[in-house]
Amino acid sequence: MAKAEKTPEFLVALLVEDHPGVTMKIAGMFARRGINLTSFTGASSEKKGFSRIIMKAEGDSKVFEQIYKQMNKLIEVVKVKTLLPDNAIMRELALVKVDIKDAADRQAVISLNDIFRNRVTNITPKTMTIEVVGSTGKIDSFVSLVTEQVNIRELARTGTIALYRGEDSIFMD
Amino acid sequence: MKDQKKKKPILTGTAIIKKVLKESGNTTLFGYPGGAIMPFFDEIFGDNKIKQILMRHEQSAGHAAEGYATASGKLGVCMTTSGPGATNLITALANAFYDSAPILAFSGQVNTSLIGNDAFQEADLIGATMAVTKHNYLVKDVRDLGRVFKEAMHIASTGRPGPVFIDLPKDIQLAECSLKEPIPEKINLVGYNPNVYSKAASRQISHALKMVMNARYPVILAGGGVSISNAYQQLTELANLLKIPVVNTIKAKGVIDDYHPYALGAIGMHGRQRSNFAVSEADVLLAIGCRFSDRITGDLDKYPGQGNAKVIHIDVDAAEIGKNVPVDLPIVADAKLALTEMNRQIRALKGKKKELKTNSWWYRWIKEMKENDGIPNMVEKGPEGGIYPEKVMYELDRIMNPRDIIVTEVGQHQMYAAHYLKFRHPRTFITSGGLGTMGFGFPAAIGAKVAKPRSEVWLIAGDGSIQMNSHEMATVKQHDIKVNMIILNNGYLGMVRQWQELFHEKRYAGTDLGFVRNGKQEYWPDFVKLGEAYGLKGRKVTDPRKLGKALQESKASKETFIIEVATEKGSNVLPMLPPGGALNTLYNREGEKKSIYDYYRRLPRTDSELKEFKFVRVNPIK
Repeated sequence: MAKAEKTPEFLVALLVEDHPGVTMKIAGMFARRGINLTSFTGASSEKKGFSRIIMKAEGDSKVFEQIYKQMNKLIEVVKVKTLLPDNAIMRELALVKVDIKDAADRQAVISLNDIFRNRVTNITPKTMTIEVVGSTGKIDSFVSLVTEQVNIRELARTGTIALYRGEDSIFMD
Repeated sequence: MKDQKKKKPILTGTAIIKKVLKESGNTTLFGYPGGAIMPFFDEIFGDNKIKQILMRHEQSAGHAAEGYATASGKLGVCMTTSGPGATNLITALANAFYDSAPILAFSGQVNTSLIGNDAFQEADLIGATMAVTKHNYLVKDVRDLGRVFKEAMHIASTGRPGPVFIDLPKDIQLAECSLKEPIPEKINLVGYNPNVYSKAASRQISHALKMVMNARYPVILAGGGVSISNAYQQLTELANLLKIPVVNTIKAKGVIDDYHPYALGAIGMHGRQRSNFAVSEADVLLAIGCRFSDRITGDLDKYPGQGNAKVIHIDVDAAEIGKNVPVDLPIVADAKLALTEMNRQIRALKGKKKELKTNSWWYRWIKEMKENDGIPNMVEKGPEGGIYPEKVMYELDRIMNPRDIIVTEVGQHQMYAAHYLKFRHPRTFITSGGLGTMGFGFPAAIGAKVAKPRSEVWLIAGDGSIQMNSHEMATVKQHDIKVNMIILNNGYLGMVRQWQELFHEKRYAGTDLGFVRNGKQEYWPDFVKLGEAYGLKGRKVTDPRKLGKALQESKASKETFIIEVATEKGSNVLPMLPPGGALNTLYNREGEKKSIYDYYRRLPRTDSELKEFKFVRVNPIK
């Protein structure tokens, strides 16, 4: 049996006017066209009244092209760009709360943290909360490795945020 | 006293709206009142510069605004109250969105303090209209009102036009605006710059010309965009300069004179077979302002030119280019500007360069297709005693003035009209093309008549569709609006019945509008009597020979006249393309599945084929 191919993904970065309901309009566009969003992050940008939204969605280049054009049609969307791994800095943050039964568990997690250069943000006799920063792949592999040692009690991920490398930027002219 | 004179009067929200509408010349409003929009209705009450048409349903108000916009090329305005009033409008907004009609729609909303509290007649219209409008606004501050209305009008009528919806809380309508300039002179929309023309387009156009001129079988496909951008003169000029055939979508009827020697007519599922054949044989398709909807393409793998043709696509909306059909040469531009430039470039070519590579067979074929192009005059009744719809089109075509406006509902009658009637001028055929909204026609005909009071407006309806909004008979009576209503009554939802006959083994589920009671076949309503209830006159026609006279009587009438035509029950719109099938397959007039090559000779593709090719007429089906 051939392994099913991984669905291709693309990353879209938007600069949008910060009005109530804008998020709904953008997310609604994906839903309406039957495109699965795998990650969605939005918060204020460097410019007052404008937000930066970064989304990851499933689809090939044809899907991306259609989304790119549809996004451009939304009045509140000022800029649309795609970001690729070789021209962008991408980061995701995860908070991982694990159950700790004994000192051996604790030691195992700490050694994993050393390798991944994670920070422990909270520790109790029975839990440890770890902050993992990096690419989606790094977080995925940390999660799978830590699961081999201990039980994950809670996991929260931010989704990917990204900026162009160097002087290229997505901002208002 | 002096001080008071100097002071500018403080404007309320509704006064700002009225001022913006008046200043922009949009003084015809289609609407329906209710609690949350009362302040605005009160504002325009007694103002003789504003024409307010009271419809009988909010959906009709939206459709009437679209009919008005389509017939006139101007913005259509409609308004409703909150909650159910506004949700009733959604179908009309969706219809206008699909057919890219410039509509400004606004509805009342509960007071801002009540929003989100599930107040009486509250509904989230921003959420509900999001998917069916070009843009929408909720105004929460009276100081934004002037700007929002100006922006909304601008967005609705520029670029690819579309409906814009504004949600207006009641307290905002009543609030006083403290701004010195409540209506800004200029608007600044950073995220909205429709690309109507760019330098890049000129270069693309010269590439396009090369492709067209080197083609053997080039075809122009004109879509609704040609009508919207008023590019009909440019289109005709292009066809004349290049001498290539023009086919059109249903939304582009009238953009080229149907009597023009290169105008082949509508394409698509119920279009002209000659047009479908032309696209099926084409090697270069120049598409202008169309969406390549599934109803015109059929099987996308075999579209166009059986999947081998090169496609040039001109559209003002970049998102339409490459959405359904892969495009070899995209041109993002307004149709009128692009065609003007294309014609300029052709005229600049000298001597022989103007000659196309195409061969004489193409012209001979086109010429033959244009012969005997009339509508069949089916004077006899059908086997079930009804009048053939073709006969109605035949008589209507005889009585119609070229400037008359034809409006249709949705169904078989719509396809008969689109297939057979000849249009000579743009904006004379108004129909629901994209969404296919039954109930669109009658209110749209009202809007069209209001926009063009001197043109005769003919509504072609089916007995199914007309019942969706037949209450508008009250509107035409009250406002003295004349519409010639032709109702093709076959007692069925004919188009669905046709599909059931062809694809569902004649199981007529839910399509028979009549019923048998106590062994007797009954059918209600009697449309002429229905008209009488509204104070309108009409005539029921059961004899095909009396049809012409009835149409004359309607034309001569000063007010709305209803002609109910006892239509042959089993008549089907044929030939048609099989759903999802390629353009070179069809159901013929007998409902048998055929290849188009049973009717047309395949045209030669290579030079050697061309040498041996003999033109043989194969019983064309047009």
